[in-house]
Amino acid sequence: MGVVSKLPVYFEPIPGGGLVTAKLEQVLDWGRASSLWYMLFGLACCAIEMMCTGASRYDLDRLGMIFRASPRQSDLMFVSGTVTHKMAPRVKLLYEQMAEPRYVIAMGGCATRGGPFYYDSYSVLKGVDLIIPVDVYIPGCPPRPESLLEGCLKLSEKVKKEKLSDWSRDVRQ
Amino acid sequence: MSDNSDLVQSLESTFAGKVSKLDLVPAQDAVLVEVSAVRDVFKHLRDSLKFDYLSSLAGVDAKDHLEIVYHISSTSIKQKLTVKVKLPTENPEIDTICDIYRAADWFEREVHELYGIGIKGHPDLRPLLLPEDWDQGHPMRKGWTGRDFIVKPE
Ligand code: SF4
Repeated sequence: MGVVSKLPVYFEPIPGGGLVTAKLEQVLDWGRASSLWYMLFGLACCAIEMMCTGASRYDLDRLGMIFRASPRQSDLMFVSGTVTHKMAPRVKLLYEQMAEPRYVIAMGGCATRGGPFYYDSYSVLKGVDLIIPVDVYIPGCPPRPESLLEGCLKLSEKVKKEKLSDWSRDVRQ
Repeated sequence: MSDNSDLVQSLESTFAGKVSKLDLVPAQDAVLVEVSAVRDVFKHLRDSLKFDYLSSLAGVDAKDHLEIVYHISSTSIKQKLTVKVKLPTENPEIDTICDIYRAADWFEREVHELYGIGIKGHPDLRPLLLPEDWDQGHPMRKGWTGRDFIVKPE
């Protein structure tokens, strides 16, 4: 029972046997929340901080998060930086290319609400939530890696609570 | 710097009436050139005065008129020169210099889309920085407003 005793509480070992029982919903949520693979994609200065979070000092790998260089294999998109009107259709396209269920973290002031470019800017979209749904907003300019890690943990909490019926993300919109 | 003032003087005498000296802060060699003489001046600067490097070309909206500012320098004789051209706000037009200095190509496209300055003779004036389907005018002009433009409250 060595392995089974380390499993989360919602796994129920059957005494004496090599079987465990659990709810499918919870097992899938557990798997998803523990392996949120994010897209290798950055937009502006916040992306530098995201790279730092992914690198060895802060190490997103600890949360089971590894970057994928293709939207097809990604579960999560960090919108890390300024979304310009010119970039907006590309961001939307990348989001649409991701397989469901997919999650979005808006990192920094720019992705949240235009940030320092809210006023007097002809080129900046005032928040990425105008084009795609966002799960977690992280304030800061740029947010420190600790904030980003906190945001990722918040997202895994959210993923762990998902119901089978929530899984079509379009319902959420 | 001191021997460079010869440069401004020689330009003034070569293009009498078309080129005049400008006093800018911080002190630098600078000339104001008439729109009609732009190509001749730059040809002269490149071919006879060894100015081989255009480092920047920028637009300015000075409210009552528009300006284009060229910064050129020479890698062989180590000199710099600032060239300004004044243009009217209504229908501003200027000749391209992108066949004289290749570096001017994208700068001129930028000035064209952001300030609405017509560049005569430019081979390719597609938008460079603005989105391909941009239809909101020239955003670097003073007083411009457009989609999603939020003016900062005082
Ligand atoms: S929020 Fe700040 S750090 Fe992040 S992309 Fe915008 S300007 Fe850069």
